[in-house]
Amino acid sequence: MVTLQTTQLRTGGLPVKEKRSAKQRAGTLGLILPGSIGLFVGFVLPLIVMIRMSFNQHGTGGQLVETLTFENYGRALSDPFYWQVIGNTLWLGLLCGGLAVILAYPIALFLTRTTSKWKGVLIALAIAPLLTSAVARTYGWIAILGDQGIINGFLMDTGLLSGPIRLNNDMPGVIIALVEILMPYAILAMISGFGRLNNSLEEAAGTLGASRFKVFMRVTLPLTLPGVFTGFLLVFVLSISSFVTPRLMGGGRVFILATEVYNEATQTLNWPLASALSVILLILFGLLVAGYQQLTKRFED
Amino acid sequence: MSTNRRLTRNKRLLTIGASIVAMGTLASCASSGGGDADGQTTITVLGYTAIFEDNFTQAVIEGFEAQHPEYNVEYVPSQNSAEMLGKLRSEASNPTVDVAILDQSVANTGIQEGVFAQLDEAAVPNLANVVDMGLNAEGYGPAMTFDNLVLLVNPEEAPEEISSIQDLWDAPDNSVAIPAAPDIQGIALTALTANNLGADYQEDIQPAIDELALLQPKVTSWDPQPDVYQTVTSGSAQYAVGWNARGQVFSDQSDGRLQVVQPDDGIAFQVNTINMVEGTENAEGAQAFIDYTLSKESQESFSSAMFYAPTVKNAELPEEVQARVADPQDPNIVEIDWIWMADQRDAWTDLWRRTVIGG
Amino acid sequence: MTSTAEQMHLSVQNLNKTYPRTEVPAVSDINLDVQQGDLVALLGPSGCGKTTTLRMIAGLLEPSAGSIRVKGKEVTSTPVHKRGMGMVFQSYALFPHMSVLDNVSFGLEMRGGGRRGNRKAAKAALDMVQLGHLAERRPAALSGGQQQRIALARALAIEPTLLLLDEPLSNLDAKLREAMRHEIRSIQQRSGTTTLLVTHDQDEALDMADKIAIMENGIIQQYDAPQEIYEHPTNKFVANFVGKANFIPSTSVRQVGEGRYSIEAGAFGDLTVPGVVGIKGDRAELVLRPHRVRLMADGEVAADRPRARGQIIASSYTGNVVSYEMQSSDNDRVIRIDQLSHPADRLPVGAEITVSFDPEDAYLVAEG
Repeated sequence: MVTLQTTQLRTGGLPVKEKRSAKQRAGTLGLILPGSIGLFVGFVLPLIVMIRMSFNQHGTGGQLVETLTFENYGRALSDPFYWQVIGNTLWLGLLCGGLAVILAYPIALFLTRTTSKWKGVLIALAIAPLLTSAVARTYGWIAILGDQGIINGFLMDTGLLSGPIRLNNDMPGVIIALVEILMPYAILAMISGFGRLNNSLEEAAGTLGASRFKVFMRVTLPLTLPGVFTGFLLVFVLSISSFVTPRLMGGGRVFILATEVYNEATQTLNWPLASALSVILLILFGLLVAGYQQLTKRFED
Repeated sequence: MSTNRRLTRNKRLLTIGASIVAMGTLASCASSGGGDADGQTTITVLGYTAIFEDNFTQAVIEGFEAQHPEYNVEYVPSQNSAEMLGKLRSEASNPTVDVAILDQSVANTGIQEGVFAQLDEAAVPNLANVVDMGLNAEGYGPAMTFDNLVLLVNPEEAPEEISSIQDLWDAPDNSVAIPAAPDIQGIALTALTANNLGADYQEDIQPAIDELALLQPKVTSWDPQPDVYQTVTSGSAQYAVGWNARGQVFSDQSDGRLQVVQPDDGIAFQVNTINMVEGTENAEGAQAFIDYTLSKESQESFSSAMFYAPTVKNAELPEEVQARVADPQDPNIVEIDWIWMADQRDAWTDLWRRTVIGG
Repeated sequence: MTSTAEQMHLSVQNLNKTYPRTEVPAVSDINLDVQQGDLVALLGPSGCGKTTTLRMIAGLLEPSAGSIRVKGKEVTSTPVHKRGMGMVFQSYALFPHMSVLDNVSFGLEMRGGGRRGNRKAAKAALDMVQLGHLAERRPAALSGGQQQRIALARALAIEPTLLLLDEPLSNLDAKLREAMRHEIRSIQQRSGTTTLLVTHDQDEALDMADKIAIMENGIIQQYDAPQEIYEHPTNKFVANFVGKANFIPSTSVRQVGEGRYSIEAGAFGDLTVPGVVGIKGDRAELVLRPHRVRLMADGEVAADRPRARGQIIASSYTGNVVSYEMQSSDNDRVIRIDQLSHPADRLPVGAEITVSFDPEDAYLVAEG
């Protein structure tokens, strides 16, 4: 009450208060504007151009014909090959997301729990790979997984294999490399998502008679699931949109939407189809992410 | 009196002419913005990156600039022909490029889209020397280089020597690198395979596709990275198909780990054309540059540097270079209509994906 | 020792804990016997080892040496989930992803039993802490005091052999804390659950516990009933930690009987006082509680009482008590005096006063 009175006294009534909030609004607008302009020029405009492009026609000899047609969508959606590409892309995302989360989970749990004075250093080490470019790390995996690479070399030297198995230049190599490359993201997402977990909750469950396994299933896992979901979603999204690793390690055998879009855009020069595929990718995974978020929200409640 | 009058008249004409030239120069300087302080005009050339850029700069651009001090050439490198066309498309209304060197089939798409301009025969006198298969019927940019598909072998890692495309089918598993369609190396290989099977690639390509599908277990990569030459040199693949020019250059740098073999069952040419961009402010300079690239001097020098076959009749190569460059007169040549091919590339790529790679 | 251990509900013997990469043990040679139904407080400053001791008893921490027995049964190597002890954590540690009822029935569920029976028992436990109406809420929606009681209900629902309370009241505000003390104590007594309470709050310990173990530097300094701890501290640390104390340096210490000494206590002169049995040497310290020091009225005569004169150098008022600090006339000591008095009678700083005390109210301890 007292504060309200003094405020009114100082500002001379309500109109001034409104003026101040208008000023505040202007300030908020001023802060939002640069980012919004950047987003509009860098994302919204190109998106509009791309969507428009997807209704153009791919004429004879790769000619670009400005028109308004759905034939690119028709072609993409009626052709089993593109359905397979969409399927491959989804599969790659699910597998990489799943594997990255499984591998990163114990690490993230350890990093969250450790009371070591090196905790900061350990976390930095876990995410340090992000400081190296994905291209460099992909070439590293090529060296490891290649026919004369470390793994095949070891398997052949020890006589377990007579000839090299194809790890590089196919889906397995792409998955191995992508999982490793994207794992730091999963670790980061999980560490930040494990906030609700604390030692005394697990200890409390222990004193109440829960074995280690039951503590994990009933307390640790449910409390860390939001972090797991975020980590999975992040790796899933990053792998379905990944291009460099599938391209460098796929050996031309891995057909996913990103490489297809690249091929259509830069090799066959079929920009309308490339745009249509991009729009399909956008819609498909926009829906997936939205559905996923609904699901996790329901779970968290 | 009359002589005197005529003299004055001539003098006046001369003055007018000089002013027009001066104004023209001024105008072109102002509009293209390419004028240097010492009155040079800049010609912007779009072409392939990496070793192509290095050799082209040394063997061609430097010669041109020495001969035409009024021009200054700026080279804009690009990853591939499609990327170049993409750039030209996006700036069609306001081109920053005067001349583009790119693959014939992609160039043809550009011609249809109106990205390129026809050349003035008077401004490019060397057009007269270009071989027939290098000329564009409607007067657009001619061939500047011929290249051909070759076999690449790593003699240290490869168990056996090969001499023909057909030999690839006898290679061990996981030993061959082939840049698959839509890459034109894969497209050219398809045409050569059809030819080996006695089929006309323009009639029915299915037999060649089925034959290529049999290569599947032999192939380690359908998309060699970073390129097919490094893949063979490093031993990641023992055999590959690639282009002669780059193959020869990289072979010289490979310490014997990369060997180029001209296949004895078919030579397929690839053509790079040199084109003037529609709407250029500098048609005169662009055509002067194109003319120079078709000169005997430039063709000989670039061929010696990069082992492209010359596209002009009057070029004479040193014997050691000639031996490493395919002859456009070779009877083994399987003629590929790259303009026809431009239409088929999509369809062939589909067949490759479904049958050759996926099969 | 062994014979008593058999009768004791909880018997801790020679318990030691040394953390890896440290030289000083966190806890050394803890011996603690707790009778069935008692509430024992482990009281000490932070870092004294009281929580370490509690966690070893709970099974959350492995002892370096020693043994723990419950009802005569060795449990030292029994894993935490098989010890059947109920624990209330300082942070309450309620499961945020479960309803209040699920929290309380969690322990029952881990022990098997039908879902219906478990829920009924859990409901009963909630009713015991008067929070039955909040069963379906999430813990986050409750106040600190409510969370505290739910944590208690959860720990008691499993009918634990031992209830362990780790600073259960430290997150509550002062008023609520006092109310909860009595509530916990009454629930504990009703259920008859033997309880161990870790606290750093002496009022809490004195108020709630049947016995208090004072800990410092990993060692139990004194284990006794609250009154004994307060009136007869075994050393200077205990006297200082529990309640307020004046320490009067005493010389010419001479034992004159079992736990009786004749001393010379500075300005107070020669006295005979009770004290800790077995003080060696001729120097010691006399513990004198401030509220046992009397301000003498002018002209008052109390021939048999020791007295000293001095000047008030500071005073403070805390509602029911006025505290003075007196500089004694021999100039070497400041004596604190707590007077239950009306503020109108408050003496000014600088006033000359005479104080005295009953020697039987003082207690002699060894020099600290």
